[in-house]
Amino acid sequence: MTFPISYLFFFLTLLSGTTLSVSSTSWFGAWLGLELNLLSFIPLITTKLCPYLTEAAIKYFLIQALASTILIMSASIFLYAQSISHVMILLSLLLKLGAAPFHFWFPQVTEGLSWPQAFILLTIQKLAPMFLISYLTFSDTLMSIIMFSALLSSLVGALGGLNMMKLRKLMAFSSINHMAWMLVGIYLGDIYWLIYFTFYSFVSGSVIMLLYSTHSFTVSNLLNQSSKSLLLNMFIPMNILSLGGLPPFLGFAPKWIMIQFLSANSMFIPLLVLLTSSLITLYFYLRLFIPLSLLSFSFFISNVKLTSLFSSSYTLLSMSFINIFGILFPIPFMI
Amino acid sequence: MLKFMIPLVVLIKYSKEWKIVQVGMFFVSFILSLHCYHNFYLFSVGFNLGMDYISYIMIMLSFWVVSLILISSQKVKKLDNFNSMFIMVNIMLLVFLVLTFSSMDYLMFYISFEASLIPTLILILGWGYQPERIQAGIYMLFYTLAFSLPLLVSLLVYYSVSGSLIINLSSSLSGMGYVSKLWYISTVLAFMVKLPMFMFHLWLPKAHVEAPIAGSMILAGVLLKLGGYGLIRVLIMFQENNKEFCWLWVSVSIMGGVYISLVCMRQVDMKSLIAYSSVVHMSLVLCGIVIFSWWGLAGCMILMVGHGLCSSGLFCLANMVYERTGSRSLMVNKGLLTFMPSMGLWWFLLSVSNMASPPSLNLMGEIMLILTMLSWSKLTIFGISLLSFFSASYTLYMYSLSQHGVFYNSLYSCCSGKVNEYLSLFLHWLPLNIMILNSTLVMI
Repeated sequence: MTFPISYLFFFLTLLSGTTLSVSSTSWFGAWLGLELNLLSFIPLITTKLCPYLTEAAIKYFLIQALASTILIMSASIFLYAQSISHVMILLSLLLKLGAAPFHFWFPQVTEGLSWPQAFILLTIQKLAPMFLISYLTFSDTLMSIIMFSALLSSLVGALGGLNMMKLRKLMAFSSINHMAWMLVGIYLGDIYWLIYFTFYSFVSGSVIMLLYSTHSFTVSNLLNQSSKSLLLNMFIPMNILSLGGLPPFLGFAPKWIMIQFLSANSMFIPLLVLLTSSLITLYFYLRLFIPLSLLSFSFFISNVKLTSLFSSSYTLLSMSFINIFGILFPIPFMI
Repeated sequence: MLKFMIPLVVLIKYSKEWKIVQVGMFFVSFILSLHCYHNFYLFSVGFNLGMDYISYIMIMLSFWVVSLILISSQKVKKLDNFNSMFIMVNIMLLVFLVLTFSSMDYLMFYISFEASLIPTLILILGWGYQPERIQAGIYMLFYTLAFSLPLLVSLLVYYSVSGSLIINLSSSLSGMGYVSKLWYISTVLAFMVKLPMFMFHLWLPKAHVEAPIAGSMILAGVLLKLGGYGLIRVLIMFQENNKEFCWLWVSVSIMGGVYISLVCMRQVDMKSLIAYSSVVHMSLVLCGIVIFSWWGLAGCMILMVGHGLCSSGLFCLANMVYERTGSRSLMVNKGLLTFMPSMGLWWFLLSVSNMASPPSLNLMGEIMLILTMLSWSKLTIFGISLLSFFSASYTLYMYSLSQHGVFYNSLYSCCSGKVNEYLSLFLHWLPLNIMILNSTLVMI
């Protein structure tokens, strides 16, 4: 069990907060849901009394509280100054999301979490702000802010991850980069970012499960596994490449969909930025790929005996399998 | 097509048994080769896959080269160097290649085209020799990927314009000025990098030098031909644009060919010499494709097959020397005739095939291509004559420097060649020189 069973309650309130904010008809309700979501994520972070977790929880709380304050404030001046209010709401949601100009907290908080919480932060916590942003696509100013933020986060995510040796930070930057695609998807229409989000959650979930099962937090952790199995050495690199969106893997499918609709709408400049930055992200995924595929494991074998979850877990294997060969399945059945 | 794909997938299951896989590969190649006399335009159609004549030749070539790879990489088996994974990677690569060549859909073609890059990367990184293989691998991946993402975009744009991505239904686009030129460039550059055309060839020598023998053989034998094959397929869409750009590709590749063949004469590394020589040959192939003539297309197919067999055989030879002396340098590997006298015959036979001697396929292909280029413009004769002169001279350089002279003093004894190695070379050489008797097989 990744969480103590008593934390199931918080998990349920977290989900209900997301649901509440997505389905509410007023900004007040949305704010309420976001607050509920935030306040139930904090106990999920601090499962143990550990300075890293506490630090991450405090940082997360401060940022999210700030964003919520701005949100509720600008929602309340809605009738008074309409255009400013919408822009302010959008900016606060981008802050909650960790999209590009407001991304600085995101890698730091992710660095403090353990893998299951990081997964929640990378996927479920994005759902509510994303939905709310997708409600804000009615004026040109808002659209151009969304596009600007998307392009900036694609570049930031690509360049920020270049020098990372810590896997959680790397996942955070890759998440920022993927968020750029989702924001562009919001620009195009709701269905596109939902599809992208589904695929991204699946792919990153499978990568995170692999990393969690091998207890690796840095690149060198990944290399110094004592339980080197051939399967592991094939699956981890392939999963990572899938996250990078290289063609034969599942991660390529959402990119393909996005590229198709971007080019159909002849938005070639954003497409150029997104593709360039995804090439750069591929470079830092390759840095994880290469040491594992060099087939020289003999050095640096540590004596730490790990309880390898890998050989036993069928869910892990099947998730990785779908992640690698997923594009061969009929795509409509996967969505 | 499934009757060729399923045996491959089954062979992955037996990846621990080298012998079974090897026999199985030759068996599948044999079954495939039985299809060479067919009268239909498209055959083995199903599941969006199908072969026409060009695809058939390329698929046959890739099956054959991968079978020969298994013979020539016995060292992997002997050293127990992850041999089951080696076989798995090779067969996966073959599966992707077969998918690429047989797909009837541009997008499927693109995906499997890209997919073939990953097993190649794993081959280079996993079984290469020097630490520089990391650099070479990344270089190759990013060079090809950076140029093929525009290809994906342009294919999807083509989909939204024409409504279909089926290769056989594709039609010529009418000119749209500026945009269509950009479109054309972004489409063809992906394949020009893969081919590689002069100026985009920088990844090739690096990748070849660092790759293990299997990687070099598959690179020279099949992967470069992906570029030519792809060009043949996509240029249907861009007939009008290609007419305007034809002069550029022809002149760049002819002058580049001359230049690269001069570069070849300065190489001391056998593998990089052979790698550069494939750039020279591929430049001829490129000319044949972009000129859009029947003879050009036929000649380019013949030269691709000929070069695939010949350069893969030369890489084999270089690797045999490398396994014995531990060096690829021409300075160390001198006087091999005293060392491996009977291997000298194979060096000779494959070298002369490389310089387009009768009765090799290279000769026939080059004759057809030279005629094509001459009929296109008389001016090309200067470039062509220099190119064929120098390509003969660098092959002569390689042959004489490696075979003649006094052998390196610190070499004491070695085996002059095993049956297995002779078999591998023979199976390279035989189709290369026999097929000219019925050259309609490799023509289209």
